[in-house]
Order: sequence, then structure tokens, then C-alpha cells
Amino acid sequence: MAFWTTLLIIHGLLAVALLGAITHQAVSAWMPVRSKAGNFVTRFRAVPSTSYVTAIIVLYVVTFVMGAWIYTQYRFTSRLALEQLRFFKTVGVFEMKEHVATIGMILLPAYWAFWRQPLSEDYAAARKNVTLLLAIIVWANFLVGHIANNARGFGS
Amino acid sequence: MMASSKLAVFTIVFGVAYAAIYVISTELNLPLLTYHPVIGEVDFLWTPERRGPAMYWYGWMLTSLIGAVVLEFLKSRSLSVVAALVVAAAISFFAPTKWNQRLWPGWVCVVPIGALGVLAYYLTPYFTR
Repeated sequence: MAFWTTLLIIHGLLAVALLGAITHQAVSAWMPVRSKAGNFVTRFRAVPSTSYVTAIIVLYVVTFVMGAWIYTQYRFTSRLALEQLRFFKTVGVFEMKEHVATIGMILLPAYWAFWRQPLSEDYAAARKNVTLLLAIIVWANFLVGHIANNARGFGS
Repeated sequence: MMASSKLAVFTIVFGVAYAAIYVISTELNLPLLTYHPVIGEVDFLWTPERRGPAMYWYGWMLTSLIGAVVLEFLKSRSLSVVAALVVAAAISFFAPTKWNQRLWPGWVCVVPIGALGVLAYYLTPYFTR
């Protein structure tokens, strides 16, 4: 159990890094700062969006693979307990998490293509939209993961 | 604005095709493989539970990756060898440039969001019990 718990913690930490990176990029893509950075919010928006692309793709793929690995253990331990406790909503949102994660994964090639240097004006809107959708997906999965773990996590 | 780069067109078509095939393979339960986590065994295509739950998610993703766009292919599981990747590549690289130029990049967001809507709808029994 210690192995899976360690894996889950690493998965969670990677998710935090991904969450930070994609949030930074989405905010700076949607609300770019033209003037010199001032307060915390302005500095948060002022990051160079393009520098996050590779990190976000790598973090997403690694977090996804780790999650898919942990999922094998979840399926016959935590999930069975959740079903016995009749926590069907928790099971349901976790089912949705697997689909959302997959959809996020298949957005990555387009995300990468839209952010390729030099940035094409043709994809300015698509670039912003895909980044925002990816940010929503990462946030949703992060929160659902926490809900499921809080309901009946590893070692509980 | 329409897509102009062949690489971008390929990724858009791939995303759209994968999302559509994923919904179909999930709802018709057409996994390319079944994983039995308790005994650690993998079966080809769909198989029922054996000494513990069966996992189809990996199989659905594989089906979507290498599954056919045409429903006929999906009906016949043994013929599910045509990849969404191949279809996407074929469309983006061999289709006339005019077709590519007509492709709206927004589809790569619209179709996956629609796919998520369908998948969420099929999960409603979990929330209405």
C-alpha cells in the first residue's frame, strides 16, 4: 500500500505543477499584459506563454500515465469500497475523470501545433480556446481526484 | 479563420476523429483489450470479469487510437485496425488544399466538448440512484 500511496502523492504533486503551469499560460493568453508588470495579479498575467508549452505537454503526459497506472489499484480497492458504501456520485465523477483526462490527452497534438513558433495569427483564437479548455480539464480532474481521495482514499 | 498548416490540420482531424471514436467505443463497449487488475492479465477485445473487476478504459483508448472512423469497422471488432491517426493523416495530407483551408480550427474544441457532454449523459445513472 505504501507503494501506491507514494505513487498517488507523486501523481498529485505533478498535477499541482501542471495546474500552475496551465493556469499561468491560460491567464496570460486570455489577459496579456502590455505594460510593465506591477502587482501580483499583473505579474501572474505577464508570463511568456510560449515557454510553458513543452512543460505542460510533458507534465500532462506523465501525470496521465501515472494516473492510469494508479487506476488499476483504485479499480479493485477504493472503488469497491465506494460502491459498498453507496457513494455512487463519487464513483460517477471519477468515471467522468477518466473520460475528461483522455479528451485532454487528445487535445495535446493540436495544442502543440497551435503554439509552435513562430506563432501563427491564423490560430490565435484556436490557441486561446484549446489552452482554456485544457486548463478547465486539468482543474476539473484535479478537483475530482481530491474528492475521490477524500471520500475513500488509499490507506483509509 | 481557417486552418492552413498541414500539421495543424492533421492534429485537428486527429482530435476530432479520436473524440468521436472514443464516444462510440465507450458507449458500444468496444475495447481493443480488457485488463483484469486483480490477476494482472490482459485479454484481447472485450471479455467479462474474471476473479475481480475488468477494466475497459485502456481498451477504449486503444480502439480510438487505432479504430476506424467508419462504424462498419467498429461493428466488426476484428477489423478495427484502421487508426484514427491514419485517417487523420490521410485526410490532412492527401485531401485537396481547398478542403484543408475550409477546416475551422474550432472543431478541435467543439467536438471534444460535445463528446464529453455525451459521455456525461451516459453517466447520469450514477447521480440519480
